[in-house]
Amino acid sequence: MNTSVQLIRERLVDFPNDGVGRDGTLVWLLAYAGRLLRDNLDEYIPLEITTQLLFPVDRFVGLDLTWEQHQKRYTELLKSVETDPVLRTNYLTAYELAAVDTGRPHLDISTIEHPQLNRPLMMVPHLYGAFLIGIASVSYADWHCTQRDLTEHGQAFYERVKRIFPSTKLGLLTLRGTEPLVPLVLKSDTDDA
Amino acid sequence: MQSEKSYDGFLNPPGECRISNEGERVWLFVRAPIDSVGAIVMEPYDMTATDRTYEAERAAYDALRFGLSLDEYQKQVKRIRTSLFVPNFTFRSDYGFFYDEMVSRPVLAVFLMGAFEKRYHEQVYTYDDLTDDGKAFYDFIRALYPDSELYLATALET
Repeated sequence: MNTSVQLIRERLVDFPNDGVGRDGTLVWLLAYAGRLLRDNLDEYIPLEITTQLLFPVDRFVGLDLTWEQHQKRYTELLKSVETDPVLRTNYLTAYELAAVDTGRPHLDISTIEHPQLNRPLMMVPHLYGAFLIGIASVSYADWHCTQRDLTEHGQAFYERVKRIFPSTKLGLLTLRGTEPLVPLVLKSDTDDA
Repeated sequence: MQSEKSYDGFLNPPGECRISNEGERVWLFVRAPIDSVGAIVMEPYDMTATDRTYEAERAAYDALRFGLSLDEYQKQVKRIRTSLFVPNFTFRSDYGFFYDEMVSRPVLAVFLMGAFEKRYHEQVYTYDDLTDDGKAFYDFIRALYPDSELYLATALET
């Protein structure tokens, strides 16, 4: 990545010091339309006011909202890997499958595909918006961003975004790699981005 | 802080009279200064235009009214938008076809600035159509992502 440009002026995320890989790490602040996450929608919500993020499932490290359940399910799957026929026939790794099993309604596997990627896309739905708030040039063994990892500026930004729309529910999404979440494909020049 | 049911957020429409019953949605995009980082997102539903491209698109529309062919007009609009949005060859359905939409070039952030259930603006929302709180948020985001380009996309919900 070209580091001569300044992507984010303030440091919003306190990354750990002990990086273990060179893949890099991204942290996105997600602003969910909280009422759309409920099973029983009890009031009118205007249509078409949310968007979604899409990224390859193998870039998923963790979402703070689902991390505990994700890790617990992952442990269960690792124990059952020799005997579970579903897992053996699934295209997802145990880590990815655990993320999907425990992700709904905050994230899910998308039916949308990318012509240059051979892994499924993960979808974060029901978003008022998303902000890239942290970029690290290294990756970590066992770290995902939580609210405790935000700097003072990060906390202030978090609180500011939370207050803008009703029922906003915030999440912190940690992804592996610093490249675009998916490559942009142009009809005439597929190497453009 | 907005009321619990309000989605007007940061918008300050230029008139109180509704123009139509189409809902308005206004999205803030933060265009990454480089293409090697960011997210690619679908064009907002039924996007009218962006504040960065509206004047050029309007000139193309005027040309259409005065004899430019529809095909050429559509090509012009595509060219005008191409620095921000491109035809979608990035995401396809599980049936194998590409969605008939555009996608953004990589962005560092995308956020709903507000939504109305009626249309109040004849054109597109610009910075001047934001409330003081909206302008403060916009300015904050512009400062947070210093080398990026911000633009507002106005979309209709029909």
